[in-house]
Amino acid sequence: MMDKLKTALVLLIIGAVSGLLIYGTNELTKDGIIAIRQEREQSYYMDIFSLDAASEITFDKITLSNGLDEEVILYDTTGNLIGYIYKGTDNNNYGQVTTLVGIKTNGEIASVVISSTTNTATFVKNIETNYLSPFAGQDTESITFDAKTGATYTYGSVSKIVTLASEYFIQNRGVSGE
Amino acid sequence: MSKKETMSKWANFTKGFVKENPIFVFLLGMCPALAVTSTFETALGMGILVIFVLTSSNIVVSLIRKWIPNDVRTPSYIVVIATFVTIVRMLTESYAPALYDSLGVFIPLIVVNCLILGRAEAFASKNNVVDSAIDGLGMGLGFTFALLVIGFMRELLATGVIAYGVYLPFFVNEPTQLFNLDWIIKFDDYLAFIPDFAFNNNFSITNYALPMFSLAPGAFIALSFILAYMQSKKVKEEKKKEEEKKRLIEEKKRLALERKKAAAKKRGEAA
Repeated sequence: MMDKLKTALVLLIIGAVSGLLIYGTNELTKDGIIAIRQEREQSYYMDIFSLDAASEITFDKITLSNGLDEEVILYDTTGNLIGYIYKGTDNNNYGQVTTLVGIKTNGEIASVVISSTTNTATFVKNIETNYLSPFAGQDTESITFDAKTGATYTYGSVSKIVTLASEYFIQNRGVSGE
Repeated sequence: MSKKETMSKWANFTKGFVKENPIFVFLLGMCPALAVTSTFETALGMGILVIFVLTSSNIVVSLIRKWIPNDVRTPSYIVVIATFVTIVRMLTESYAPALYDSLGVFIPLIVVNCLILGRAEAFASKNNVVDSAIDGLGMGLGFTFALLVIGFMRELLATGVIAYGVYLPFFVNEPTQLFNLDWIIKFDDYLAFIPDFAFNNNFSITNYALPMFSLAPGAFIALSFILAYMQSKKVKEEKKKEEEKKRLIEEKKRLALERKKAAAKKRGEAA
């Protein structure tokens, strides 16, 4: 009995010390990590609308609850609307896929990017290289998905977010971009 | 500290470099050795992370070795290693995000690196803190050395240059080339004394690079070349030792025979 208690106590102490160390490191690095993630995401915004690295943008974020995480409304420095970016995360059998869908004010998809994922790297690279670019230029009201690749997990998650983003855009923003 | 003790500590530190190299001799930690050595810099980054995790976990395991009940020994070591890997992951994401993106899933996978658990089990759980720290550092450096050799070979063959500053933001402000093969382009300068010599001026080393070496097959091929070289060296050394042993035996036999002959002669003279 005492042996079991001793074992439990030792494991408890190891776990507690480990937890404290991780907590301390998290406190030390969390601001830096958040800043880096935001910076990375903003660079995606620029890429999605093919903006120069030198150009400045401002944006508003709206949290969504329809299967999408958030809507980002992008403006240039003079306050003109550039477009919308919809961020969504989907869980599939290989893990998580976070997708950003950029939609121009006229309802045309600007670009689709996978901002982070835990899916198998090789498959993700294949989807990124070959199957994301066809989304660009398509109208939100009539999107064509790749039927063959649609059966794969990563592309399935991306398609789901693109569909949700398009539906949200049509219902709430329309082609007027208002 | 006696000279013998100092020497044994030095031997403990250096054994991981060549004699007991984790990758080239024990073939431990092959997953990162193949996956993250496409460039010299990512290999260096992974090596630094492994040195930190291996040395820290060896120290902690050695410190707590007497308190850990035998039946929960391995899970306890895994918790210790996982803690350091989590710390390293956070620090890398915060201070070297490009390296973090490049190494990706291989940072959390350090937890299951056979080398780290192997050293905890085989060495740190049986030795004092100082020796365990030296062992961790030496083995970590040996592991890094092996990754660097593979990374150097692969990047040079794949691109013709060795770059630095792309993933590791330390000591340089922008990406730079540590080493390249551009000197080959200036080959005709060296041979200008030969009349009518004209080397192809459009020559570019990148045209002759072998991109395959940055991909998975290249990792296996590069590693196979290095292992073959190590093995041939080992075989030669063993052969040399064997020959030396044979020569000594022959020498002893000859001396014994001479002594025998001398004794017989002495006996003959006496008779």
